[in-house]
Amino acid sequence: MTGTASDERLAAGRPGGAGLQVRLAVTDPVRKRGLAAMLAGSGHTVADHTFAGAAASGHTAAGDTVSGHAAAGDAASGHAATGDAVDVVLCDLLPGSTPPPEAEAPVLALTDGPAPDHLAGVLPRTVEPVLLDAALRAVAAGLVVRAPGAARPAGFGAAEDTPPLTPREVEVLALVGQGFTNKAVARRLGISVHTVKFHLEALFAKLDATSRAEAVAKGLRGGAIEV
Amino acid sequence: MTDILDHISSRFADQVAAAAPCAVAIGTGRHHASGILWRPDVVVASAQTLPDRAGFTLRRAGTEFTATLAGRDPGTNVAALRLAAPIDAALPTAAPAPRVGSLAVAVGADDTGAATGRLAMVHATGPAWHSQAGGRIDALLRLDVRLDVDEGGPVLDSSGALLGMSTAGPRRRALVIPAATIDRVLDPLLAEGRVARGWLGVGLQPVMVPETLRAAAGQDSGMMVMTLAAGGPAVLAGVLPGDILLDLDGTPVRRMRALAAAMGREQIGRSVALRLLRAGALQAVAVTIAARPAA
Repeated sequence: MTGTASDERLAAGRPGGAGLQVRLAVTDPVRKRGLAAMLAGSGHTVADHTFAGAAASGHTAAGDTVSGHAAAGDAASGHAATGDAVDVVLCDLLPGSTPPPEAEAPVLALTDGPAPDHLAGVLPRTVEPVLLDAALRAVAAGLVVRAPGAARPAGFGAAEDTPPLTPREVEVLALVGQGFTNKAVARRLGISVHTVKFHLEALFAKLDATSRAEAVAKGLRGGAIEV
Repeated sequence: MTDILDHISSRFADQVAAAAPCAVAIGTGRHHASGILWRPDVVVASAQTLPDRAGFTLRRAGTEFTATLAGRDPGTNVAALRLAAPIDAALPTAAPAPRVGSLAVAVGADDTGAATGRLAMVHATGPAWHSQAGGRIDALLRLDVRLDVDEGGPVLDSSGALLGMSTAGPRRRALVIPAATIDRVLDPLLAEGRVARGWLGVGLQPVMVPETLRAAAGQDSGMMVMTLAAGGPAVLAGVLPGDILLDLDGTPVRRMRALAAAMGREQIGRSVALRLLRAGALQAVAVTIAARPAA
């Protein structure tokens, strides 16, 4: 990536900076209107008609049905709403549907289920406007965004060797899952930040996780074992 | 030296070429995965790679086929697809149990259905194990590679015999679902669309019992209820998130093995007594084991 491109992306993603061009890849009209209002409230522009025939027909040729965008009206109109390029594509990812390609712009998917690893952003469908705004700017700046409890395809794993968590680790995991920082967890439990980190390290090892989000997803949201 | 290297290289190339007719590409939306033509009209694939839909387009050596999903078993990660019309296939012969350190080839298919090859070493072997989704896998067989679009394709030993189906484990590290496991679940999948298994509808995490309660509980560890499936037997019986499950009909449930044994298909419909720890007190709850719903 050149310095200029990087600078542009950073400028686009700067909190409080200029609004972004966001394309809404959402089929449900009520939902679309709600999201558009949310975006307008954060100062973003909905670039609804930029996703014209080219990309849509590209998909048809590949033999795949792409749900959630390229409504007939969009494809037919075939012109850009504004001269600017789209910064982020915001889509609803329903079970069985396919997210739009990231070739146009980074994709932020709203979903209640697992989402493909390659997407720039994944948030729950019930995301708060302020978080959505932060996530859009982060994704536009080239960062990867995940909600703390986002379900991730974990791979097919064994259950029998999962080491048991201690009661303290369960408490730490529960608080981390609610979005508390290490400092806040320490205050809540009346222990030092150092000790919180110690428990987190142990949790990462026991749950085979590399991040807080992954630990929460594995330990709290799913449980290691389903019966 | 050159002769030996050429010889080894040619042998692996021959084996991939020999297995190529039974490796197919399966369109999964934007991406594709691989599958094994297990029978002339049945393709086996990695269940976790297939999106939730009924029809799939398959490719082999540039030719397209259509198939419908006959069933999937999250427990063993085996999905069965039935082809609209049978095509010729010759599954390699089953391989004996491999040794750690021996070489293996993971075969798959690219997006046109042409065979792909990936050289691996058998990284670890072990006895039968249970997956997080409760299925029994007949043998542990881990490879030292990470999978890509070749997940779900056949894995061969160095003689070209079939070890099983490649499957991405945690962090995409390759596992092999042994051919014996696939053979065991394939007929129920084709007949019923799933492998019947007992179900409580809970997501569990092994936890240590708080020290002050260990004497009362009579054990050091149990399984904490993390999630409850809506309408599942556990919810209907009044099990709550945070409950620590101690035993099932008197058998301590510290590990998966005991639980999996208690969830066999013959257990469906049976009422079992759960002893659990809730808010520092012991509770007994009767739960009727249901059949795990089709995934």
